[in-house]
Amino acid sequence: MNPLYLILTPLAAAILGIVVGKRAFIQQIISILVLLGGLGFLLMVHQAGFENAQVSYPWINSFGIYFAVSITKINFWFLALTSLVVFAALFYHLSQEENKIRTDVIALIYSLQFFLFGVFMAQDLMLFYFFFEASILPIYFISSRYGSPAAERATLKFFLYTLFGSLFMLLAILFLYSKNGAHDFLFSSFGALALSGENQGFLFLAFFLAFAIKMPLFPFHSWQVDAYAEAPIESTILMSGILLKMGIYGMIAIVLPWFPIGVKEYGYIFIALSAFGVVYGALIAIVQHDIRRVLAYSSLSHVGLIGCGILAYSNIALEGAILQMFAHGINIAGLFFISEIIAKQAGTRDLDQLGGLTKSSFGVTVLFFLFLLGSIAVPLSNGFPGEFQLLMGLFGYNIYLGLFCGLTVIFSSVYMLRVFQKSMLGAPVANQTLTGLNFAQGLGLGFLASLVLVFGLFPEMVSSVSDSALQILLRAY
Amino acid sequence: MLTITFLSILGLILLFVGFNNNISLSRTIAVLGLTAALGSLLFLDQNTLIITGLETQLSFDSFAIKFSVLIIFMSIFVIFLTGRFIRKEYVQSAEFLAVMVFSLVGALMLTAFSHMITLFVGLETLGISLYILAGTDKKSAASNEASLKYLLLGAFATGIILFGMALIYGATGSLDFQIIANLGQANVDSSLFKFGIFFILIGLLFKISAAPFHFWSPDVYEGSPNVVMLYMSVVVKIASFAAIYRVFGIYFNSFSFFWWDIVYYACLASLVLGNLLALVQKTVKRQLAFSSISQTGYLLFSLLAVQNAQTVNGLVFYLFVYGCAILVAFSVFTDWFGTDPKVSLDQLKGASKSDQMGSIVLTLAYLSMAGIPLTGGFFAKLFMFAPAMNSGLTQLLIVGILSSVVGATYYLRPIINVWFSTENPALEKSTSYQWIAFLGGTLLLVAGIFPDTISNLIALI
Repeated sequence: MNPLYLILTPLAAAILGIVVGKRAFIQQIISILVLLGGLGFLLMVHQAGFENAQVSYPWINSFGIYFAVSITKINFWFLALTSLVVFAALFYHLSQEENKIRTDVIALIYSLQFFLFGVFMAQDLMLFYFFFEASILPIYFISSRYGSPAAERATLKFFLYTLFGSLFMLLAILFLYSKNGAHDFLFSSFGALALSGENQGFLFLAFFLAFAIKMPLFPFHSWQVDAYAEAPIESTILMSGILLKMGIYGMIAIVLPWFPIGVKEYGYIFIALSAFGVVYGALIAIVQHDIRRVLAYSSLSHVGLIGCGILAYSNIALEGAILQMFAHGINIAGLFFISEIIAKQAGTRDLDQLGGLTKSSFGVTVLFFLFLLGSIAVPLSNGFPGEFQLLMGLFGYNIYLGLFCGLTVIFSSVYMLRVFQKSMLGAPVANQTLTGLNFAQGLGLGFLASLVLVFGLFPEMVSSVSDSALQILLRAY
Repeated sequence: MLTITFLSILGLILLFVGFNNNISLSRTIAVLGLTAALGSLLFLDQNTLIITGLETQLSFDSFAIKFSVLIIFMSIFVIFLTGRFIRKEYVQSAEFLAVMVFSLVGALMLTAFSHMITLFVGLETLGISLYILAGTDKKSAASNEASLKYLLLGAFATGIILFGMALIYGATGSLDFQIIANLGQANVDSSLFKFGIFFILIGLLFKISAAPFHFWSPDVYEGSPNVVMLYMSVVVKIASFAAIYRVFGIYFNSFSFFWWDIVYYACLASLVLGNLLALVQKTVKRQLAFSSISQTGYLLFSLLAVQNAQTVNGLVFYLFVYGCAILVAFSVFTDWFGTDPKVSLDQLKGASKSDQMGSIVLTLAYLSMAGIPLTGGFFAKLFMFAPAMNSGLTQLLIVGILSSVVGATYYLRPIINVWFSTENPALEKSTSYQWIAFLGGTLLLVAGIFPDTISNLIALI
């Protein structure tokens, strides 16, 4: 099971996408094939017990940098989510009228998928960094080029903010390299380094800064809401659905196993800050008028909980973090997708001007409600098991922290139901109807919505893959 | 020495060819001649054709060959780009090209000197040619001003270097770098010697336009014709850097106790001042001039780190990538705006609407200067940062990283203007130099995705 097949598929698709051009139907077929091919490949790797799922080629000899990629139990769900979210973003783009389809957007989205696969699969820290940085570029160009006039500023802020964080990570990587007698950047040799507590402290801070800005955790979130609200919906789906998962992945695969002393030393500060962010994001979400801003703040709140869970260093919370990141990716992508359909068809994103839309489209209502349930974490939806385990882990870490973060359960139902109530229920606004979903939109959203139920009913599917790996990861602690 | 002799003859030939005032002929001869010079550097033994009296004063070791190859390689493309300027401004093609080739003789000497005389002759040959080149746009007051300013300040700096040489001669009784280097620290621990090193260092820092000795460069860069600025920021930068590295990185490395601190603070100042001042510039050329100062800061990392073969190769890689980026930017600007010496950043707005391919390579060039992955600039910075980290220069690296973020802010501005503006500018849309831009863009991508191909070549030379 050579992982090169998986990582190179998006590149092939990008070239194919440029050749095919604006023929929406063929593009849709290609994106479905890329999705199914990716998921099928992952399934095959899983069936084969993750045997032989790694390759390594020398890349830059003079510095001992390898093109080393592998599919592991830890990155498995990140890779699956990448395929799904990229599919959602692409399918939104392709479901528009043919004259609105842009070949460069398609190629950039596929290249982003390539970079994301690279980030999650890299087993060489410099390769990881390379992809981590490169992944800003596609999203930057899509957002600035096709976003609202305010998007340009917002995305520039996003670009510089993340660059700022990741350059500190580069410094930390170079420091690790200078400590590494083997003179390479391989994960395996860094994992084996014996680092002093003091070194671990600032290495933790440097890596954490990069990942926390990416996620974003409170108080590094100031780029987030504007970037989500002003960008074209394709990049909002990508940013909220999968880009921030790079931060989560980095925390789980790099920060936790390598710098346990650092996490112990400084982790509690950031747990407290993220926990504050959980409630802060939820409270602001309640008073927003723009659907997208509600979703953006809800994302801050949800991701904050994941961040707390990871830093709390407990097995159950870590399992919950993986579950929740997968669920959050699907739900937020679906919610943004639907919000854009509503905004396009009803002509506004302002909750005060929307109302009574249930009457005009049954499909939108049902799908919206499904994603919404997932986001509130109602039992039997995919959001529930993850949030439950995260809160369990936090209760174990500190009872007051658990109680404080538990408020999110209440608040999230408040802001989510408020959105639904204000937009879908109530008296219809004059001249405001939904024309409903077209076939492509129905297909894409329906597929995602089915996952909300499937993973709500069978959360074991996620945890059975990653659990054993997470336990190994925590044993070092 | 073979190539130096060859280049001198080439310059003379160009002067004679100039009599018939046929621009294309002169340029063809110059390009062919430089290609031959490149070949001679790579494949022929440089120790043939020794000029009597200079045997021990020039040594074409692998360091010298690496830098010389880079210098000639870049100047071939600069000569291609001169065509438009020569035609438009009615400059005598012969003198322009001949002076450029003569300046290359100086540049090559700066990579290979092993004696103070050859260092001085190299500096002057390069310098005096540049004073002339900066003023070739005779009708432009700015060009004249640039030339005069450069002459006055450049001569002053050369004087300082000369003073330093005299002091060192006084302290050691020798002008031969190799002999002085072998003296060892204990034998030269006199204030004469220290002051000598100090003055030479100050003069050379001036030549590479490191802060706080940078004041001349934005004005000179801005006033000079575009192609001359390109020449200065690529070829001359490589040559001056070869000179400062050869003196301090190689010969005076064992005396680093005397000079290290000064280079350290010059490096810090260049990073901070260059980047901050570049933020507020309004024209393309001034922005590049200040960015060039900040790039000098990154390049100085190589002097501060522990010296080894990897450091030199990293330095050559950096200069190659930076040169390619500047080359791409200027060839695109020449296609869009002709020889207009004052292109403002606002003029770039919406350019992607009329020339998409040009905009793509221009974007690559600026991303590379900002050090973003997929372009060579990322690895160039990495190759500078890694030795510095290994030498424990953490504080300097933090400043370097912060200024990289500031750098990204202004390097993105041309990109933003080109792609994300609704305006529809009137560009000349000539495509005469597009091939240079493509070639440079391809090299940047190759250096950014397969850096080993380039660094293997560098290590091979």
